[in-house]
Formats: sequence, structure tokens, C-alpha cells
Amino acid sequence: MANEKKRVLIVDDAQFTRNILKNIMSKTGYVEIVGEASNGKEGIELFKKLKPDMITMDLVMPEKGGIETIEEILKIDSNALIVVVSALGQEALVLEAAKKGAKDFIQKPFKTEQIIEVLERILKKKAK
Amino acid sequence: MISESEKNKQVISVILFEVEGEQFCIDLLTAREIIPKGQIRKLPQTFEFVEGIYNYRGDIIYIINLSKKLRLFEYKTLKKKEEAQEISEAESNKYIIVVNINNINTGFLVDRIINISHVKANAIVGLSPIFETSISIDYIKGIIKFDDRPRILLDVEKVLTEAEQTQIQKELNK
Amino acid sequence: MSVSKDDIKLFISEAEDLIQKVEDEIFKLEKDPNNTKPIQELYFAFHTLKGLTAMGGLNNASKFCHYFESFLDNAKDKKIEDVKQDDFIRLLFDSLDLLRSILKRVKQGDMSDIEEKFLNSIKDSFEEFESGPETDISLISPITPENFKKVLDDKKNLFYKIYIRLQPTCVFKKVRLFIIIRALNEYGQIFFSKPEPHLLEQGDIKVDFELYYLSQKIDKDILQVLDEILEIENKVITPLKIDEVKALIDEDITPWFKSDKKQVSGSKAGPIQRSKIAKVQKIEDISKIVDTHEEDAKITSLKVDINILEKLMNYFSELVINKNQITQILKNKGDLELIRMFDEMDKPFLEIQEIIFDLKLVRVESTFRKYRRLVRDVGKEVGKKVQLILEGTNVEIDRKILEELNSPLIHLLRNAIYHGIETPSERKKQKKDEIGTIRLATLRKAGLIFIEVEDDGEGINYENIRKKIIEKGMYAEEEASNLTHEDLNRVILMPGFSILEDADQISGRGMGLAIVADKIKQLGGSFSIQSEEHIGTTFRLMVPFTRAILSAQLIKVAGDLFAIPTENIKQIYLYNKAMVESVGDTDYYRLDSDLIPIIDLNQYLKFDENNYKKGSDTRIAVWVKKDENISAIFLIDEILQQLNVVVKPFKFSYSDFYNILGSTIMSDGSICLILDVLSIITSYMMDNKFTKLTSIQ
Repeated sequence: MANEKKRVLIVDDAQFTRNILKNIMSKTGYVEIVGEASNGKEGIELFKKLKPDMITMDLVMPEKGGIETIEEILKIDSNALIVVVSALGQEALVLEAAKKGAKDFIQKPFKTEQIIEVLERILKKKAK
Repeated sequence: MISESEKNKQVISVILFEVEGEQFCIDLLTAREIIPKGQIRKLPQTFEFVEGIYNYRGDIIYIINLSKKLRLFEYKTLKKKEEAQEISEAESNKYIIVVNINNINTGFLVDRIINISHVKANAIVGLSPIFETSISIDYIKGIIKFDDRPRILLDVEKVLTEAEQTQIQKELNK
Repeated sequence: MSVSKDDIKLFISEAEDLIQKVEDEIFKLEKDPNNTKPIQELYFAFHTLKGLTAMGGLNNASKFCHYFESFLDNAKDKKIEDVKQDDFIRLLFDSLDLLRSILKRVKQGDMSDIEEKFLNSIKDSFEEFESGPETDISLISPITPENFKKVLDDKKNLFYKIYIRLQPTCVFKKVRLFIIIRALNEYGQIFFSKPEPHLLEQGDIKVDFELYYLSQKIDKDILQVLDEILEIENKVITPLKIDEVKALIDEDITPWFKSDKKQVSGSKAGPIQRSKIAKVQKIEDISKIVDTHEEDAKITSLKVDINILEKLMNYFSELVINKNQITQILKNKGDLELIRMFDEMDKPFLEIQEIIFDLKLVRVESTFRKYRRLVRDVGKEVGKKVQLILEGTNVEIDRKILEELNSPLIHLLRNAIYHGIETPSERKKQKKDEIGTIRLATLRKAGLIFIEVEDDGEGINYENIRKKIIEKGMYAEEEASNLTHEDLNRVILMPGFSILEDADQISGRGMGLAIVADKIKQLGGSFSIQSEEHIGTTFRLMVPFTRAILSAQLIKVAGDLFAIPTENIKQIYLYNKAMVESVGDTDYYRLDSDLIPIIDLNQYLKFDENNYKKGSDTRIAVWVKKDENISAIFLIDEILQQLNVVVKPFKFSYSDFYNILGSTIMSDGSICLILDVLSIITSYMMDNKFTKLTSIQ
């Protein structure tokens, strides 16, 4: 069990952000980025297909925003682990996301340590 | 009522323009824009003084031929009529003054724009009976005493609404 | 603001509906106090009443409704304690009485507002129930000092003080607090905090705070819960002894409860939940109710000012024009890639168009049903019995147009009641039903809305009209006697005519029917009258379905650009002179076994002689239809492309040219006039004294 990598789905409309998240997380050695989505709609589809252990979720995206996506994913699996990755100045939105069921949040621009903290505190704790 | 001293200080801006050799002014505040005449689309079954309709920045407005509306030709003395005929086609009806009354844009077709003048409020006087005018007094808001000579300040609103009422009269007479 | 008599009538009618609704819902709530649905309905009702009273100039009454609205807004999220429920219901009934008394006054013509001091006393009554302004975090449930005894006695309960310091980089304090409190509430209950709960819930902290926590879990487990939360720099959990808790209650919690600030706390002060499971269940129950109700009440809708929609529509329409212009230029330049990209814009554009249309459309029922009351009341006013029958109420129409039709329709209805419907005794004499009927029928066809206001009254007395117009010198006696009913109908609509009516008949309404006709014209529609003595009168309105985008066929007539709505076009042919057959004065075009009347648009649109193109052989015949039976062939010069155009209503201020239903601007900026097929065929019929324009078989 310890040798199996944790599976993460990244949902963010900026390629740049997705790349950074991918880099940081894969470098730990215990995370596998199983999918990337550039909007909420894709995010939901990939979630259904891949059933990842954790999802990082951007809030402002085309096609379907983060809040709606969080709602729909939690409808599919109420135990889904969603961590919001938001921009500065979006507190009300993040609060709403948390109320909808997001587990926690980090802000852009984030430091590597913050992502690691997310993995250590939240992802690793998730039971299979 | 405005006191004399206040009147002295108040300045009104007017557009000075020319139609059929006659010069008139209108209050700058009523004017929206002055544009060179473009394609005016003729409409059938309209009054003679309606030149047509025009696309003014997406708003379709009526263009009124001011000389026809004011019936300038009729008021001219014979001599002037002869002179007037010499003004070539190319020189007349070159500009449109777009006015905005009651939130509706209408265009006045005029020959020439002379300038925009700023006159003191007390330079505007009412009509006196001895003053000979080239147009019906209904259209006159006042006379502006310019340095060189007086000119008529047109009552734009009257010019427009009277046109509409003529429309209704026409309906009644059908 | 000045309120007209009609407005007052409508106000009364609407207010009565709402007050009735309020009463119904209060009864429902009384029967089942735990049902949040009536609260939801009451919330909406008070919200609407708030707007209504504001419109009527009753500002204090509006504020009153606003207080209730906010009060109910809070109430619908929280359960009302059993003990307070009776007071709650009573308060609602009191509000109902107040509303009723306001309405009674208005009915007596007294539009005066309720007094300010009364408002204040109402506000105070709310304080008891009011849980304060909405705060974002509402998860702290303080325990009332009274309930603590129970809590303290339960040996399974453990008390803790949790000290938390957030990382200095934490910016979203509210969210962070929310997440922490949420996690803790899963395994116990936070019953107090420092800073005090109302401050904490507003995120009003520096970096650290203390939570007083009650749980049946051990401290290690609680720490683990907090381990999973980000941005916590330091956390310390200290178990509390019973006397420490008691001291806290005495020194901090009780004074806090007594102070006003307690009211600001977001959640209700309620008895402690005995076990975590029970609490979680209760939350689930409530959320289930809210969920199902949300579906019913469609909380996901919002009220939008119609003018904003109008602006949106206009801007969007401009965008469509601009896009077309750019596409045109690109086509000329031949840049394929750009053209392709612009073509891709079509899909979102079309979708947005659809959405905006739908937003702008509303069922006529929403406004028309209010007329029932109006008709009854106005009828009573003049001692007549009248009922209004509505037909076709689910026809949808542009919101703005409906708004603008309100005034003219009310006028027509009043007109029908005043002049149309006879008194009950008169009707009996004529063997008619005592109750007069006015029929308001709506129909949508071919992009147009037809509205009929038909009464079964005494009809127009044309002889009277004739007399009047002779009296006033509009026509000479002989001319007047030659005027047909149709002619007279047109005369009635002239602005000058109503001056002739007796002031008391028209009840001082000014220009009357002419204004209605004018208003309809402004909307791009038409208006006509039909009447028969003793049988009744029918007013017919026709307005365009929506003043926006239309599919049109561009054509040229006498060198000028026109367009015909594609929905009016049956078929287009190359004009073949051989197909023309004359019957009497009229030319017909032969199509299979039918002869269709020809209208030569060059002639008909009456252009000046210079532009007149006569009978060029390469003309186009367009078969247009007015309705199933009536069609015509329009002879035109040229056929251009078909496209979607944005229709601008045409102002008829200086023009008689009523054959136009609107105008549009082409990509090159030139103006295209959109022909009103209906109007052209109709006036052609009149001009040529056709009683019918049917095709000959």
C-alpha cells in the first residue's frame, strides 16, 4: 500500500499553473498526476473516469466554474478530496467553495512548501 | 429671473451656420454633433422638407432639409433669388447638424458651418416688431447681437415639433 | 411620485393577491411549524410587497415589508425554537393585519403611509427573533447558561480549550476559520470562543484565537483533526475541568449572552445536541428540506431590471452588426483563416441570442391576469357588471413590449367598460346576459402578436360619430354620409377626433384612442377597430413578436435596399411576363391553378419619378403571404442574400410610410428598410377597394 502512488487530478485553465503543480507533486515520488483538465466540464469527466485520490481545483474557469464543478463532483462522490487553488482577492469565492465541500485551499502564487504541506497533511491521510 | 450682472457673466455657445446664404445660430447644447453629409436614404411619402433617413452611428435618424423647412426660398427678395441660384449644387447641403431633443436624434441639413461662437447671455434679445425676418417668427428663439451684425437664434424644438404636428394635420385631412 | 388612478387600482389588486397569499402561508405554517416552505413563500411575498408599496409611494410600509423580508430570510435557514414559534406566528398575523389596514385605507383613496414610530416598534419586536445580520460563518452554537446544567451532568462530555495560531501568511482568515470550525463541529461542538463568537464569525481576529470545545473525543483525536488543516502555525489543546468550565460560564459566557452582541451571533441559541450523531442527522434533515424546497422555489433565479436586459440586448445587437461588418470586410480581403475564426463566432452568438430572447420573453399571463380585477372594479365603479375572459395567456412576448402595452390595454379595457358594455338593465332589455363580457385574446403568428379586446356591448354608434364630425367641420354632410364604417374607424383614431368627445365620456383622459394607436405604432405594430351596433366592438392590436433579430431576404426595389421577413415568403420566381393575366383592373400571376394578385412594389412604394424603373424584364416575383388565404406577388427588381438582421423599430415621426415594420443597418452602413408585408397587402386592398384579396382558382 505504501508503494502505491497517490493519484491526483489537476483542474486549472492555465497550462502554466498545471505544469508547476505537476512538477512539484511528481517530484515527491509518491504522487502520480493522472489527469489534467482545463475547465470544469473536462474536470468532471476526468473525475468520473479516473477516480483520483485528490483534485486540485481552480475556481475561475471557462465552460464551468470551480464552484459548480465542486458541487457536481461531490454529488458523484461525497468523499472526494478537493483542494482549491485560488487567486488572491477571491476570498468570498473560496469561502463559497469551502461551504460547498472543498476540503481546503491554497493561494496563487504558492510556494513549493505549501504544495508539499497539502500533500502531507491532506493527501497522505486519505484512506484508500 | 437672472439678474443683469449674472446675465453679463453667463456665456452661451452657439453654432453659426449658413443655409441658402442666410446665417443662423443654434444653441450648442441642443447639438449632438456636426458631421459631413453622407448617404441619406430617401423615403417615399414624406414631406418635402424631409431629406430622408440616415445612419448616425447605428441610430437611424431623420434628416430635415432646413432651407426647405424654413421655407427660406419663399422669403427671399427677387434679387437674392437670382443670386441664390448661382450657388452650385456642390456647395450646398454639405453638413448635417445632429440635434438631440427629448432623447431623439434628428439631423439638419445645412450648407456651411461657419464657426462656434460664445456669446454673452445679454447679447440675446427678443424680437422686436420692426425686425424683418427671413423666416416665420415661430422658429425664432431670439436675436443674437454679434459684433458685425445680428443673427437669428433658431428654436430647434419648435422647428421639429411643428414638423410632427404637420404630420398629424395631414392625417386629419386625409 | 404621482400615482394615477389606474395604478392605484392595480396596486390594490396586486396587494390583495399578495396579502391573501401571506394569509394562506401563515395558516400553513401554523399547522406545521417545522415546514420551511411557507416561510420561503412568505419571504417572496413580502419581498414583492416591499417593491409594490415602494412603487405606491408608501415608503414606511415598504420598509416594514423589508424588515419582514430579512427576518424571514434568516428564519428560513434556521429552525425556530418550539417555545418561540407561537410568538413568531402571532407576529406574522399582526403583520397581516397591518397590511390589511393599509389596503383598506388605499381603497378609500387614502394613500398615506404608516407612521415611522410604528416602524420602530415593529423593529423591536423582531429583535427577539432576529438572529442578526447574515454572517458567513455560522457554526458556533453557544450554549445558554440554562442548558449548561444538563451538559455538565452528562459524564461523557469532555471540555477543552483549543488555542490556535494561524500562519502569518494567512490572508483568507474567514475561510480558514470556517474550515477549522467545520472540522471541529464534526466531532463535537464549539460552545464559546475568544474573541467572542460574533467577532470570530466575522473573521475579526489577528493571528490567534481560542475555542472552547465540547466533545466526547479525546484530545489526541481532536489534534489529529486539526492536523489535516493548512495554515495553522501552532495549536494547543487543554482539557478543562468542570469548575473551570463553570467559571467560564459565570465570568464570560453569561455576560456575553446578556449583552446585545449575542444577538449578532449567526446561529440560534439552542439546546445542546446530545450526541454527535443526532446533531449530524438534524443538519441533514434541514438541508434535505432546503434542497427540495430549493428545487420548488427555484432560488437560483434572480430579478433583473428590464432596462438592463434591454441594454444588454442592444449592445449585443450592435455586436452582431459589427461582427457582420467585419466578416464582410474579411470576405473582401479573402483572409480565409480569419473568416473561419469569425464563422466560429456564429455559434456562441446564436446561443447568446437565444438566451437573451428567452430572458426577454415573458408570458402575457403575468400582466393580463391582473386585469381581471381591474375590469371588475371599474365595472362596479360605473354600475355595470363586467367580466374579463382571457385567452391565449401563455403566449410569450418581449418583456419591454408587454410593459409598454400595459397602458394602452388598460385604456382599451376602460373604454370597453365605459362606452361598450351597457348597464345590466339595458342589457336585459336587449336579451343579453346581465354580465357583460370582455374578451382579451392573444395569439402569436408569424413573428407577430395579435391581441384582441372584444366586448359584447353596444358597439360604436356610427351615426353619432358622423354627426360629430359634421358638427366640428371635419367633413361636409354629404362626404360624411359616404364614409363607410371602416373609414369612420380610421377617423376615430385621429388625434383631432377625441377633442370632439364629451369630456365626461372620456373621463378626462386626453387623446384617448389616438394615443393608443400611436403607441402601438411606436412599437412597430398596428391597431384597428371593428364594431357592430348592439353586438359589440373589437379592438385589434398587432405588435411584432420581438424587436430584435429577424431572418430577412434582402431585395432591391427602384435601386433601394429593402428586406422581406423570410417567414412571409412562400416562394421566389424569376418574373415571367407570360404568367400575367388581367382580370378587370387587376393583374394576376398564374401559379399552377391559382391566380395571385400582383403588387408592383416599384409603383406601390411610390418612389419619385427619377428612380422609377418600369417593367424591366429581369424582375423578380416574390410570393408573399399574409395568412392562409391571402397572399400576393410582389414585383421587385433584384434579389440579394438572406441574412439575420437586427431590427430597429422605425420612427414614423416625419413619415407616412407605414409599410415599414422596421429598419436595419447593413454591414456597409447603409440603411435597409424592412417591409411590413401585412400592411402592404392590407393597404393595397383598401386603396383598390378590394373587400378581399384572394387568389382566384
